[in-house]
Amino acid sequence: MVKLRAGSKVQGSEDEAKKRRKIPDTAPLIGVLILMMVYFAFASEYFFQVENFKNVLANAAVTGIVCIPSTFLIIAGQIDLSVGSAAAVSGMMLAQVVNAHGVVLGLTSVLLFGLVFGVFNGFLVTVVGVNSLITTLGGLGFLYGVALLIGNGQTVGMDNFEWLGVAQPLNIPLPIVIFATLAALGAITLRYTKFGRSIYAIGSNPNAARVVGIRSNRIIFQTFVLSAVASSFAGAVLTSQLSAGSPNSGLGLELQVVTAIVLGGASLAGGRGSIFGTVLGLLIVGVLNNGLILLDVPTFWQRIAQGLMLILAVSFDSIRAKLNNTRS
Amino acid sequence: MKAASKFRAGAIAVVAIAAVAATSVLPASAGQYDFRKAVPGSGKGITIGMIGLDDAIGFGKDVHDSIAREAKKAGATLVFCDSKLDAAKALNCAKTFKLKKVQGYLNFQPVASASKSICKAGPQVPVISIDIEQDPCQTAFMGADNSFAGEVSGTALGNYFKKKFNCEFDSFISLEDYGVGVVNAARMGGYRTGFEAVCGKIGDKLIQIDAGRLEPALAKMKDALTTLPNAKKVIVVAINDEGIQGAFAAAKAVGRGDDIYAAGQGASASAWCDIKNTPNWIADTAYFPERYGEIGVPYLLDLIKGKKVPFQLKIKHVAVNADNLFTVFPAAKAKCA
Repeated sequence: MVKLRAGSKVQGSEDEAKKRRKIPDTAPLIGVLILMMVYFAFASEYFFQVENFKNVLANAAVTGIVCIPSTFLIIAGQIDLSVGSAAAVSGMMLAQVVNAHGVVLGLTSVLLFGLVFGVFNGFLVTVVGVNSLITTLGGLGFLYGVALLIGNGQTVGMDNFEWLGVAQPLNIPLPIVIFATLAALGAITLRYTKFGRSIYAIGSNPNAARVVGIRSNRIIFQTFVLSAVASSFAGAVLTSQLSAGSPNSGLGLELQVVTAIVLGGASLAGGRGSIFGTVLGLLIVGVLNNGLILLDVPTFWQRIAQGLMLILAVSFDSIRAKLNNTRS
Repeated sequence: MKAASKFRAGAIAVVAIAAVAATSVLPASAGQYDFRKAVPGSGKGITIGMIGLDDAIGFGKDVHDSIAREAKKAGATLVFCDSKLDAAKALNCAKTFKLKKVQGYLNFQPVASASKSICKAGPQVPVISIDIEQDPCQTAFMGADNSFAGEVSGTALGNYFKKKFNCEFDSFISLEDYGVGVVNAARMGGYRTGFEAVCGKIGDKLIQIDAGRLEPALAKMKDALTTLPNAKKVIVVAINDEGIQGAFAAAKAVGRGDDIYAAGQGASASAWCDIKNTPNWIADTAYFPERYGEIGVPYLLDLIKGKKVPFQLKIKHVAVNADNLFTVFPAAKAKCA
């Protein structure tokens, strides 16, 4: 019988799980985040300002919305590379439909598109049996073409729909509220529901999951649908922030998403990861980007620093695992 | 993943070309201005900002460097923020400028339709847009004059063909980039206007190809030349230098390097030596990204000080060829001599 524990790979024995608990998975990430924040606070007078924190979180929110179901997918051993292009199509679609028919129809069409595209991805992966990387890589190219087609290669301006992206209920930007809500729901789902535990089981050992009666294909199908709907919604939030749909607005989103999730401790091989880790990964990337801009670090060095940060953070995770093994 | 990166790189390149070629919607009345070196000390105590296009693109980096150079010369503090071709990043830059209390900024972010949100998020200070309209907050607009830029090289080509071949030619191949919409129409239309003013109608000798970058120009020019087996006087114009570099590479690859006569746009440093050393590279319109700072910085400082500045601050383009290259770009001498 496979024993499941949320947030860590199934090891098969309680002892081993206890050893891994000695140093929490997320401890190095929290340490890195705190160190970065302390450094930037001393280095820039602008860093420790409420407005700046709002900027950091609002910037991370769009990527974060996509990260929640993408974390599910990666834990389940799958990947969705079409999220950026799906967001771009949604943005273009939203701008066109809102301009012509209003906000309600605009939002409805975007969510419907996400649903249909998620079903399409899920069908190809679970019914036809195409590898998720190949399926969504194709989707990435295909949808980017669709996004260009919708606007004939141009951006489309959009009026009267700023609230989703820029409204600040209780002085907190709405995208942050949405992301925080989705993150909480995602964390609860992964940790406390059968659906969440099944995701870990599928990612840890697909054969064992099948043997214990988990309907793997159904779970994966549903997760692809969630991923596409979240990507579409994120595209709508971004378009609302910019008051414009751009076919290039989602460029690179899939890499940002994968970076945050892997940085947060998830394994691309599946079976391991958590929403808390993903949020930490997002914050590390967000704080780093923000800090480098505030310090006027030249762009090329920013790119180098961002790459090094990813390598270092992932290395910490390996070092932690080795330390735990040595102590045992 | 590798394929994804490759695709992304291609997509980014398309955007990059689009952005470099930008000048999206140019105001109708042209107002070209001479470059003006920043006066030392004129920006002392002033903080200015710049939202860059993308430092990973040669054109964007040249513009950034020239603005940084002139700001330093003026004694102003420059806060630079790279949009990396992403309107969302540009929005973040505007918020940072507000935080850092910049007193005026230059905006080269690529998505014109997102400018309203960016203007709103940034500080309410004078703004000079670079090459791309930034409504509603732009106080002035500086950048390329696409129609005129196309016309400059088109006229030079016409003059060359009139003198050498009495305006006889086999074909007029136009390597375009439909992704940049009105910019493409203005620039490529300018070539035709300039050429026809000297040599008369091009008519059905015009072949338009969507190949605004090196790789597609390389591939598609080979095909085009295959359809013109006996042509010895093929005119090729392109939306940028890369297109012409690709066209010459294609022509040489099929042993017909002497059959094409070309004109490009940009005269960027990466094309200087090709312009100098390729006999049939007849003309190239210079855009001077390395001198954008000599308009952007002094005029922005004027605006911050409350002085009146014309809305149109367009670059004076000139046609460059092998004969005048070292005069127009003295730095080219060391590079290509």
